[in-house]
Amino acid sequence: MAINTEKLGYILQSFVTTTADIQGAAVVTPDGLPLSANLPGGMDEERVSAMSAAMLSLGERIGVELARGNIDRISVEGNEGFSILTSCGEDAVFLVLASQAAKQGVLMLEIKRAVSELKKVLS
Amino acid sequence: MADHFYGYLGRDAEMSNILNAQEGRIHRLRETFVQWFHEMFTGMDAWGKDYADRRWRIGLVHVQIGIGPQHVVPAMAIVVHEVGKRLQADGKDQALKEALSRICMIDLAFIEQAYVEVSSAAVLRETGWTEGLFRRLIATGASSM
Repeated sequence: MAINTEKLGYILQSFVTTTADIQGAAVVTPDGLPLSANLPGGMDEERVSAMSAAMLSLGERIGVELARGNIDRISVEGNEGFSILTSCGEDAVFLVLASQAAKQGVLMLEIKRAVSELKKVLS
Repeated sequence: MADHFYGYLGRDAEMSNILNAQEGRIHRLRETFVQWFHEMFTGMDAWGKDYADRRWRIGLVHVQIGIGPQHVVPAMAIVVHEVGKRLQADGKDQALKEALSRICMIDLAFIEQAYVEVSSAAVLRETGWTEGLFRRLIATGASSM
């Protein structure tokens, strides 16, 4: 069945606009191609997608090498905020950009919910 | 030929360090060189799959021990140059020199292609990236240069 990109876009838009301190989100393929993106202006969608897929894949590889088991998510924390990468099954990677003010517990819960919705669309 | 070849490489500090990084390495490489040079004349299996595989293996070893294209290309030029000198001294036909130069270039292409492909495969193996993602990262990176 074809992927409903309109629905993907709707889920992302809803996630970004209704979750506090979220600045952007994207769903990309493991090859680094964008499936849907709602990113801050000025960010190169193609580049962000490639980097996201590269990061998650490398993280998973590190997880195996360092015997950390399956990787739930990868979080990059800078002084301007967070980038969180979560696997969306075998076919997609979910990227979330959040500000430094974001509450981690809320963020993780919202990501978990969004991933659940995205998986339904992607399956 | 091996004397000329390793004499040239030994004058380069970086190359000399690589060649002598492990005890006995230079002797093993020298043996491989003599075998490689001989095979250019015999063609092993009429310059077929075995011949190509052997060159591929040389490219793999180059990646493993850190010999890059910047070392191989000028070293191959030394081989071509020394072959030319020897043929001239022996009064051999110019066509022979051209044939040997050509097979040297074909070998160089094999070895360098193996170098590129082995390097890429090693990155993919270590990172878990797909080939498509790897190419995309190269393309996006190159476009910003």
